[in-house]
Amino acid sequence: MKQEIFRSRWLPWWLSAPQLIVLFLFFYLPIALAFFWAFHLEQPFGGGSEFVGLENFRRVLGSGEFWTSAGATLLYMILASGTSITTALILALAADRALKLSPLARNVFIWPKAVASASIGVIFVFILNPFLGILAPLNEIWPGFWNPRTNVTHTYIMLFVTNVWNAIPFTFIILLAGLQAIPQELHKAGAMDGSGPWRRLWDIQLPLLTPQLFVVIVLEVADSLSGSFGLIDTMTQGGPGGSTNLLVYKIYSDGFKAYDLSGAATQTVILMVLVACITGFQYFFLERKVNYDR
Amino acid sequence: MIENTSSIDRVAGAILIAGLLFVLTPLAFVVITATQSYEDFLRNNFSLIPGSHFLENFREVWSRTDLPRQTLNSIIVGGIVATGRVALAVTTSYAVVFFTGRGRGFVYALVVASIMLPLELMIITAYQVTANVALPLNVVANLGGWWGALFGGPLDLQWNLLDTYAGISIPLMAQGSCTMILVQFFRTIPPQLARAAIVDGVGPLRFLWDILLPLSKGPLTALGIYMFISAWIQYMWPLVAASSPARTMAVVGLTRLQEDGERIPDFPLQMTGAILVTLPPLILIALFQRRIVRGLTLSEK
Repeated sequence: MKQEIFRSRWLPWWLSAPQLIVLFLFFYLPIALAFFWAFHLEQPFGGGSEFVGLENFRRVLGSGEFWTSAGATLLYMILASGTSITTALILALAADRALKLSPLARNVFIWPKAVASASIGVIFVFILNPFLGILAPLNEIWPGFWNPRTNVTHTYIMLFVTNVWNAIPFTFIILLAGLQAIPQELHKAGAMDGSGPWRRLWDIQLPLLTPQLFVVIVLEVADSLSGSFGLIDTMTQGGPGGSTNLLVYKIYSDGFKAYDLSGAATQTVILMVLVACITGFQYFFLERKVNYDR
Repeated sequence: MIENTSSIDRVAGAILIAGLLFVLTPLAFVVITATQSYEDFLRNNFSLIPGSHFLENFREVWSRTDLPRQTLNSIIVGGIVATGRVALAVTTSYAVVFFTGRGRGFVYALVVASIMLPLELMIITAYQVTANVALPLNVVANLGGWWGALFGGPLDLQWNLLDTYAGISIPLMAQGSCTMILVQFFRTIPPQLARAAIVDGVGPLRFLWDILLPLSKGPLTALGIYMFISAWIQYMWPLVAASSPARTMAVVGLTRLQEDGERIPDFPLQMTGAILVTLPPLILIALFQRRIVRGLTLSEK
């Protein structure tokens, strides 16, 4: 539905100008600058820039460290978004039922939104500390049972558990709203036809939830790429042995610690293109499976 | 509806209990640890029994660390970002929804595109822009050297916003989700309202101020609270944009409590800090849960 009431040539531009200026300065200009530096090399001692063509890309793509980091990024993206969406979906399906606990659960499941990823990183580093945390007694019985500082699998489990805790609220809100919007008549009609509540879960609720699931998948996948920074920086710093050195963290350390502006910008461009491709892929292939009829 | 749903309800109840335990247990550990003294903690390690040293720990965090100051910074930045994002979203959405004319779709597309690429991905060059906001002026002025030809030297303006409240806040506003939600809301407002205003001779700016804003008070407050919380929990941008302890935000300050070089970190103190940093947004979200959820899911219904 469109409004389009007032006629004015300049007023709408004056009204949108503030936001467009902010977006130009801190969204479009940084993107453009990243592309600029990806094809230029910074001269030492502030001597300007030199065009080097694809030299930066050759350097970045030729390093093994980059490919390790890219592989870790993809692995993290798939598993982190997969685990958090599945958990939130199960919780939303349970909280959708009119149980005594539902109102409390609907409130408490939003709480993690108030906790910064870096804060919960600090908290879980302590709780899952192999010598001081809750698993320390098990470590005393079986030495080496749990050691996220050296065991890569344990490190990833720690990251995923923390990420699930932190990522529940947003996905939960969207999925629960979608479930609540399913008309009660469909449930009644299903019951009349003799399908029980378990059957209706598969045949009515999940198919009708696909629009929300689609939105959530697109947003969670993109968020797992950028939002992992707070967890990595507080929990693993890219370790052990560079196994959790995700691209967003590598770009940060290359740019701000190694002062490699061109290298960091080149990887930024690669990461942005990757995000754009993944989002595009989801729109072309995943959206076809979405059921918009109610 | 009379139907036997006890089997699914029992499973759902068990899932809810498991979920509540999963969310609440870490928070409980934080609180319990914050009540212990460092000496107790070294002796007993992880304990499930609350101690009695919370006030001492709190006093130490309050007087010995920068966290109180940094919490104030978080309140200031959160307030600027929330007000700024809602204000920008109101004017843009109003222009997009209530006006005829070319360019509306284009403006909306420019704004919505910014949702796909978060600030974290372009942190290096966003930092560069914030270090000199006059950069685009310099580039335009020196294009083809016309400035140098006219004034005998290239234009080199410097305007560094790093380590200022503006430099920390404004880049956090460069994201269009707030506008998208508000556009959806404005589209649900009956068009007769604005038509009636026109008949009564009310201009577009007065309609915005006197009719539309009072009407949208509820959703705007919900959005504002949500944006305040979103700014409060930011980590990566405040980490690079603020270099002095005086401008550092609380979440960044919390992660720095552990860099003391002690062999076993003072976890009770750290968890006390975590409570101080987390409690304000947590109270907001627990109190306004209904409103926030309604505000966020506007576009879904």
